[in-house]
Amino acid sequence: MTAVVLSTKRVVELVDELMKDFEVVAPVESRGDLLLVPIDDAEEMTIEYSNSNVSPKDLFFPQAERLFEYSVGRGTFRLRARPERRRRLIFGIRPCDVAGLRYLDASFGGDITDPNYWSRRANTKLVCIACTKPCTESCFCTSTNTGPSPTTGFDVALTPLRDRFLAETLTESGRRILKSHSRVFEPLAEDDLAEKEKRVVLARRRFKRRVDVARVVEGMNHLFRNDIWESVAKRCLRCGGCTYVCPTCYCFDVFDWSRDSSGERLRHWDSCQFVGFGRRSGGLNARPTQVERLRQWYYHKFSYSIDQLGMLGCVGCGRCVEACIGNIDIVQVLNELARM
Amino acid sequence: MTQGGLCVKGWNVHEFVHDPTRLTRPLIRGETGFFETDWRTAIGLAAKRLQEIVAKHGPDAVACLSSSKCTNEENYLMQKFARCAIGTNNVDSCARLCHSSTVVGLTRAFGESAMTNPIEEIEGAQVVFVIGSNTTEEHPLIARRVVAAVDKGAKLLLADPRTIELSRFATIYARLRLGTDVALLNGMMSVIITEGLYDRGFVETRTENFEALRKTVERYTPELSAEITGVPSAQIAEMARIFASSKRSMILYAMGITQHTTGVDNVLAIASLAMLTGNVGRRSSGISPLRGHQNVQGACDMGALPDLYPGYQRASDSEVRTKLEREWGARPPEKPGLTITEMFDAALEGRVRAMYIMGENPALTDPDSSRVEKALRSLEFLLVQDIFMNETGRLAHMVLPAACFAEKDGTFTNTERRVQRVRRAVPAPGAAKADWEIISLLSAGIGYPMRYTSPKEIMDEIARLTPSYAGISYERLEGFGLQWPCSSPDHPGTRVLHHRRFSRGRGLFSPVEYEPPAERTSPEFPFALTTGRLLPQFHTGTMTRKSPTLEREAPECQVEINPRDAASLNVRTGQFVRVASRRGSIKARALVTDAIGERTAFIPFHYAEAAANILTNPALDPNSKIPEYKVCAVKIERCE
Repeated sequence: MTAVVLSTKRVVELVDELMKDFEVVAPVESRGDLLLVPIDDAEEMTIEYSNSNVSPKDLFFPQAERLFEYSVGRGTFRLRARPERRRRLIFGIRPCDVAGLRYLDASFGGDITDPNYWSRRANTKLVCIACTKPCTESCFCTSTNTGPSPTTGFDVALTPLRDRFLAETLTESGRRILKSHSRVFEPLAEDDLAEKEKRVVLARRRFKRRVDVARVVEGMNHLFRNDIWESVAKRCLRCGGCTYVCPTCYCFDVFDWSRDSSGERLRHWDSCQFVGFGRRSGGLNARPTQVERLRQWYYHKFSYSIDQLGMLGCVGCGRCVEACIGNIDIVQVLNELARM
Repeated sequence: MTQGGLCVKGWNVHEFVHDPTRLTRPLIRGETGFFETDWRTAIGLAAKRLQEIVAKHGPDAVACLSSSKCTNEENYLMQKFARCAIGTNNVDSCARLCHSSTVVGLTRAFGESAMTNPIEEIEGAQVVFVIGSNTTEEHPLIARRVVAAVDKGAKLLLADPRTIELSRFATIYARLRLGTDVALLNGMMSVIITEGLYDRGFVETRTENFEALRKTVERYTPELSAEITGVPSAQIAEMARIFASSKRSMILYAMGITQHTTGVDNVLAIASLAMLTGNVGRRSSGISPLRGHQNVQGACDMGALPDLYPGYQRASDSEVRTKLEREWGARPPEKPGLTITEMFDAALEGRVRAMYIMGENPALTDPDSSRVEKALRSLEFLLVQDIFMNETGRLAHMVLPAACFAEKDGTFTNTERRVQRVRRAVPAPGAAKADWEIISLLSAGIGYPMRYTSPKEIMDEIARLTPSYAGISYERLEGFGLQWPCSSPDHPGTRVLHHRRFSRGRGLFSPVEYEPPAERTSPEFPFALTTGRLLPQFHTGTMTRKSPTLEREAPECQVEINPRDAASLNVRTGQFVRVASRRGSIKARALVTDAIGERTAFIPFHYAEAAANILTNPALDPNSKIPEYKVCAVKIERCE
């Protein structure tokens, strides 16, 4: 662990410096929304923010992207893929979203890796800012063990102390960032680490929304046929918003567009909440009603993910609650499940 | 407004915006089909053709269709183009086809035809009465508010011929027969009056013509009402009591009320029910005619109507015309123009020779589409302006490529009268231009220059001429926009209409009698057919059917029929049936469901390959000229 201190006054200076080496993505307020977007000037960003309305997964796995283009000539077939390899740095990603990326890393990794995802991911550094209080009325990261402070997966973690941040790193690339910008950092004061621990404990206490996740996970073994799924599903308006804003949902569909002798293959986000998602040729649908579709989402996150990847598929960001137009609150649902 | 939520269409809208089949260059019809051209050639030719037709047949031989999908600024320019550049009042839009009966009905009853209360007040209602609105599928973000109200303890009364999703939340769900809304509403009012549940104070101090209403509705006993509607009399009485029991009762309605030959009557009965119980002009009460496009309200506000100028100022008022003439430099015509449905009759009769259609697809949206297609084919010049080639564009002599909402600046006025900014987020594809730019070019081409450098300048002109928009400017629209009427730069906008006083003074009770639909079932055509929308699709699908995700959700037309009828037709879900009316027939798959009553069928109108409007009846409401999309008689046979 390497740790130094960054004065709040010098954050802009640091970001300006980072912009020389990276395309910097940072929190920007725009008409009441909080976006994580590339900035041209460090002054555009805000460090007084909760979290972005949508998860930063689209920086690695965009809602729509071209996988490749092709063209057919006389006896030739050309296929062109141009993965993005920009050097990027996200300044101000939240701990829950770092955990979300770890989940996506596992999903897009493994035996077969996804080149588009990894060309972006491998070239992106993460500077995470720990939360001092819940981002929204909906988030519950203390229950999923993904916040309010990051434990792994980041390059640099910043924890707000009084008028400064404690900057820590666990990785070689993080150490390089701290070292090459050592001018803006200051050495650790004696009680800074203790101060951080105190603040993390204090921050944890501010999270009132809690879920007994272990109980939920255990309960999933016997709740598959429970009535709860029907009572929750009846509120669902099939918008797919929960899956689109979710930091861990990774389903996509591919489409081919061809005109004459050339074309392209596109990849768009898809959602298990859509009726067409599970429809087979001939019209048979593995998940014919919203009850099965909604249940699938919960089971994937709180049961199947644990078997498949050894991790929970939910990072407690609460965005699905904010996005739901059917007024479904995952915390309420989980607590109900935990009581059963 | 949306509380950060989007429906499935909003989440996937990028798919059609970036669709590779968007129109990118002006197209001119040649002998072998369309060929691409540049703007200068296209505008020059279109202007010449329009001028020739005006010179030969007069300005009334041209008709313009404005669009609820376009901005206020663009609708304003389209009506100005018709009135000043061409010299005709022949300008209308699809608002005619969805809420013209609201415009007539609520103007007569209240003096103003818009949603009376803001959307967010639905959540505070004690009673929500939804009639003729499949809110979940057509206005999901409003359905969300209804469910939130129920969560807070509100009672939901629901009247619909189909068991729609909201019925799961309803305290009472009344499945009424198609087109019997007046009988149901009169039945409810009869109970409210007979049992003395009406608001005497409100009726005496705020309304007029109560005695006439009493006389008419008293004859609609719950028993008679039950006989007509098919809803049990006890249910009718209970709905009446629940509705009248609260001072925060709201009524939500949509096309199920308006698209009837009795559309205006239906609206008048709704207005009477609200006034009778004192539920107008206060928080979480009133009437919510739910508008379907993002700018139906605005298209009407801007005067894209054949008899009304911006802000519903009457074309017959010479003072208004003088005011407009000063600003416009041309005297707008006095004689009312043609409505959308009349335009096609006029085309068939040779009175209309040219049409300029912006962002609409009447070849699919208008009733009895075979007749509409014939009318469009008979035109000497058909100019279509759209973001995609569609069924109407294919019949055109020229098609101009337009920018979509994400590619331009402007304002929309939503269903709660809220004027909001839309901002350019992405560039338009190819040479496509914003509709306001195209109209300006064409107008200059025929000798009436419009010199606007931005939509903001157009809004400033709108504010100068439109009393209800007088206080609106782009600077003031930052944030959440403003609700009209907004009469001066320091006016805060108006949340609730008819507070203390109706726009017309006293609210007017207009008693109405039940009239059956224009076309009744018969031994030959034994099914009553109704039409509507599905959640993932929008209108004729020109946009949503381009989105692979949305199209996959509802890829084909399905005819909903009741299991008993299915059994007697020997049809199962997924089998093809032929549905025929007196006007034409379509083939589609059956969807057997008890969500619909016996001898009734439902078809969504999104699908060109099984176009519901081949079947529908072009019979019009006499006052508003809205067609009866919601009832016609059909027969259904299994396809062998």
